[in-house]
Amino acid sequence: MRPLRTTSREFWPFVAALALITVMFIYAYTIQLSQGLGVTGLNDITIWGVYIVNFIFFIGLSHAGIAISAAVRIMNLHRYAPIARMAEVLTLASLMMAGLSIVIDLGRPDRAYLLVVNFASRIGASPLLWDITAVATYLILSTTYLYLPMREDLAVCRDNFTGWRKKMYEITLPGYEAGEEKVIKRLAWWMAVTILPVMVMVHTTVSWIFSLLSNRPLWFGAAAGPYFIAAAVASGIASVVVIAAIVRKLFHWEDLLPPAIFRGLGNFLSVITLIYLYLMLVEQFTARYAGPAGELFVSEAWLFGSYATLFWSITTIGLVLPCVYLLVQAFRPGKVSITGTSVFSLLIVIAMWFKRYIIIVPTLTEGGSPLQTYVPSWVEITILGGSFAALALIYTILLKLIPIIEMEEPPHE
Amino acid sequence: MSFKKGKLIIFLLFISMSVAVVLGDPEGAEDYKGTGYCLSCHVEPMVDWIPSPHSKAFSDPEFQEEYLKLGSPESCLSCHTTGFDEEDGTFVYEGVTCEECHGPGDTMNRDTSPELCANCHSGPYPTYEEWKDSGPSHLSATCTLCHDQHTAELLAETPTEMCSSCHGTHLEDVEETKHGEVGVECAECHMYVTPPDFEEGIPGSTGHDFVMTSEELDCQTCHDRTLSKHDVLGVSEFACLSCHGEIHSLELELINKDVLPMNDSVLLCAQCHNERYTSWEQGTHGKPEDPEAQCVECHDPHNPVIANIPTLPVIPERRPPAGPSIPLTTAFIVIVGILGLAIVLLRWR
Amino acid sequence: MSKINRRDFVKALAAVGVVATLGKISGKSVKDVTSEVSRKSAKGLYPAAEQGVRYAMMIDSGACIGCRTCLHACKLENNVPDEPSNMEWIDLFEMENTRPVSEIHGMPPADSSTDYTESPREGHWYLSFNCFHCENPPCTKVCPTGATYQDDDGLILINYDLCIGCRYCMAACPYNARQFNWWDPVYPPSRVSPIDGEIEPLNPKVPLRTRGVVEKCTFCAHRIRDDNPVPRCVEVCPVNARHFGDLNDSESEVSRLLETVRTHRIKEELNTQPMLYYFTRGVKWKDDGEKI
Repeated sequence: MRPLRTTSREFWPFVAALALITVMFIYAYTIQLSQGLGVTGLNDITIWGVYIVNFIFFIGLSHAGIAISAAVRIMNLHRYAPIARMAEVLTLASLMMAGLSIVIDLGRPDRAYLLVVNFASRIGASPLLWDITAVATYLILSTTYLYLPMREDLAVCRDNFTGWRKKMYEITLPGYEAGEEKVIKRLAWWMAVTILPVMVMVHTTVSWIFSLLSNRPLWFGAAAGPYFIAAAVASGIASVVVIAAIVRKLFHWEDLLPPAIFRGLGNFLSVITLIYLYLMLVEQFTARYAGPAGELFVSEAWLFGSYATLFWSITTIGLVLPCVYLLVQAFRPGKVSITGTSVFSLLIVIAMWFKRYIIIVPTLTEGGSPLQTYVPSWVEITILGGSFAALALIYTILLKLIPIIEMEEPPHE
Repeated sequence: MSFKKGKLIIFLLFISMSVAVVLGDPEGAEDYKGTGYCLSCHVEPMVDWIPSPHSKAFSDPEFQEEYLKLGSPESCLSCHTTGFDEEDGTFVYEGVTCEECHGPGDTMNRDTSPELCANCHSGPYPTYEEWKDSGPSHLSATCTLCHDQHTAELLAETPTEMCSSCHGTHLEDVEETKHGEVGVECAECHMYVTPPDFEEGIPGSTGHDFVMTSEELDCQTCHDRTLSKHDVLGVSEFACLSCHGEIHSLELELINKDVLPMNDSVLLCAQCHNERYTSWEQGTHGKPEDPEAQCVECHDPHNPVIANIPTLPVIPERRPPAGPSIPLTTAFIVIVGILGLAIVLLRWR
Repeated sequence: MSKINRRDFVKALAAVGVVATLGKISGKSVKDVTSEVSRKSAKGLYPAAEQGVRYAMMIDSGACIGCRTCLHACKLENNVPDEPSNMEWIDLFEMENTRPVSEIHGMPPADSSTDYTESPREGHWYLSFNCFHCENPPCTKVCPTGATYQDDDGLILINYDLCIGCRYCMAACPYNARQFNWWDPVYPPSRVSPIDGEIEPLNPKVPLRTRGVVEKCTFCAHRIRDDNPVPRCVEVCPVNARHFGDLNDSESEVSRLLETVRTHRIKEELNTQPMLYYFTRGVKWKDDGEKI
């Protein structure tokens, strides 16, 4: 509850910086709204760029929430209970940013309501609508799932605060009864069971946006679902690790967030990253062995061509290195370096963003004659940075308003 | 005087006259009297003859030029002079004078047969041979039927009129054709003249076979028209006749002998270019603003290929995205830097 | 409380399911429902489609000299904007002779150029393409709002009022045949035609587009459904390299061409069944009468 009570001095410049970046983000978007999508570096060949990468990346981040919560509730790994809500708040914030990113990508965002109006006629056909349905469902369910168990903590807050905070907590607690925890616990368990397949379907439908297009080399393929889900879970868990480490340091919650959590998360991350590297290897090998022209061209671009520097630096520094470190850490008993784990997790998060970029852009530019190259314009980069800043801003504000760690459960191994 | 003196005088006279008879009248220059001799009685023929080509046969500058160029061969002189002696290569008079045809002096030969003309008009200028081969119908037309003996001109105003004296009805049809309207003479094609090649020994043609067998005579002799691409239709005039079916009328003729007017020639092109015709019918070829336009409105039928179609300009690249506003970016970076510094300083205090 | 929550949750799920299946249980396929929805709202944009007709276009890449007359004529006919969008509905590529039609890799094809200034050149052939109006189009399947649809006569059309500009159809098109309005399109009331220098006014029969929507070749739906037998590009080609017609009509040019010449379609293995065929029959001539 500490962040709710006290505000450190660094808080305000930090929020101000984030707010400023967010303002730049809004400014860049107004430029785009006034002039059109031509302000981006996109063209008729490279139709999707930074915005779609953002979209997929944020949806990937959102998988952390249910993954950890499911581990806690269904598999009774109560060790991770303290970070469960952190992860769910991350889910909420990143899904909001994902929705924002996709609206930013639209040529006519004022017509976004047509997605709902024509829903019935198009839902059987368009993977984009399946994705939107799944994400919307996931968002609603996750929010509910975040909110319901939080009610008792909000009640505690309501009791402990006065003034405007008390009013705020009262508004969020309609019809709260003291004994509802048991019912909610059961409900939450069932919800966790429901949300887990929804989470799988969310990122499967995201992968279907790309993998059902038979003409796109290295998009089209049957293994896109597991490929995307592995990346999503990896990036989500890694970002939860980073957030947990930061929060732990900031509020001195060393006892609430013991190193065991980080060790466990690190182990899981190493396995997931290993699985992801394995899937990448399989994909590249398939493309190169006797691949058709399109796959060969794109694979060439990834490994030896214009995207080679990016690809190899990301893979080695961002994926292989953290994987090795975390594996070593997993097998070595003794102290866990939280700094090390969080730094390498940050590397994984950054690598995952660039990996999404490498998945999306070379297929578009290299699938045929690269008549037009793609360089993200300043608008896109500002919006990219701004969406991360906005995510951090949302997270920070929520940190200040709701208890980020569940209070009732005493931390136990 | 006695009787004996009278007999001696008569005997001497008889002897001298016999000697004169025996030694006299050789075929030599003494017997040729010259045209002046004939003129004393035959004025009208002389008036006809003087401007004729016969009288100028030697003096004609063209003949002189050719004669000298060929090195003054004697073979020319046998026709171009009067009284040419083959043995010693001498001749009596220049040109074809009265005595060449009518005989020297008082011979006054009256032969008007073609064989007389054939003495000269044969060989390198094979008029006689051609006429002989010209078929039974023209054999009854001897030289003098068309030509005046002394002027050597035709016995009509124009060659066409001369032909029409027998071929009258045919000519009426031709007059209405293109060639007839323009005034092309029958003889221009049907009596096409080519000069002989004396060096190679190839005789020329004087067209008196009335048949167009000369390889040198084709449409391009008169029409300076080169066929490009459509020359594959045939050799020389056959290419022209593939479309211009009838040689006098030059009308456009289809293979089934239907005649097309000049301003509606599409079906003629369609005979060979049937795929293009289908395209034109369906609107995928031709002038967009005029779907009924004839082929020839764009394609010259003698040079139908349309090349040099200009290449139109490229569509330029899309306008690239504009850069950021520099002052705004600088201000932003500065402010964020200050805030970051503040955070770090506050944290490490 | 928990009961309410659970009930609400179940209700929400059921509602989603019902809405999703409404399209299916009403007896029509999703494609029909979509097309009807799009067609109803697109009534003002294009004339009504003829029934029983299947349009196809054939391009003779032997005859094509790459002069770009089709490109510019299409721009004038369909109000395709110039600066700053610089859009073209027809693309023309100069290909090396060593790469025949069957070996085109990628669209746009590798080893090709669009910025040639003189044509035709020795050793090159010219590839021209626009929307293929596929029989089994991948683009109409993926549109989330149903803005692009397949009409009864086989034309793939776009309802510009429904398009939200997500560009998914552009990702789905194997031929990169669609263009996007990245900027505000500028429609001057008249333009100078690069073909003949005449002043051409805006075509009132073709709807004007806004920024942020996708557009593409429509086989000149406003012409062929009205009184003109062929699209503008087919009409103006100076070498008769483009042919158009109704495949259901056995007397049409394209039906006869299908029977007589060996045609080829691009990326046929993707099962899009495009309606744009290529064949090589004509030849290119130089000014001196020689072939290129």
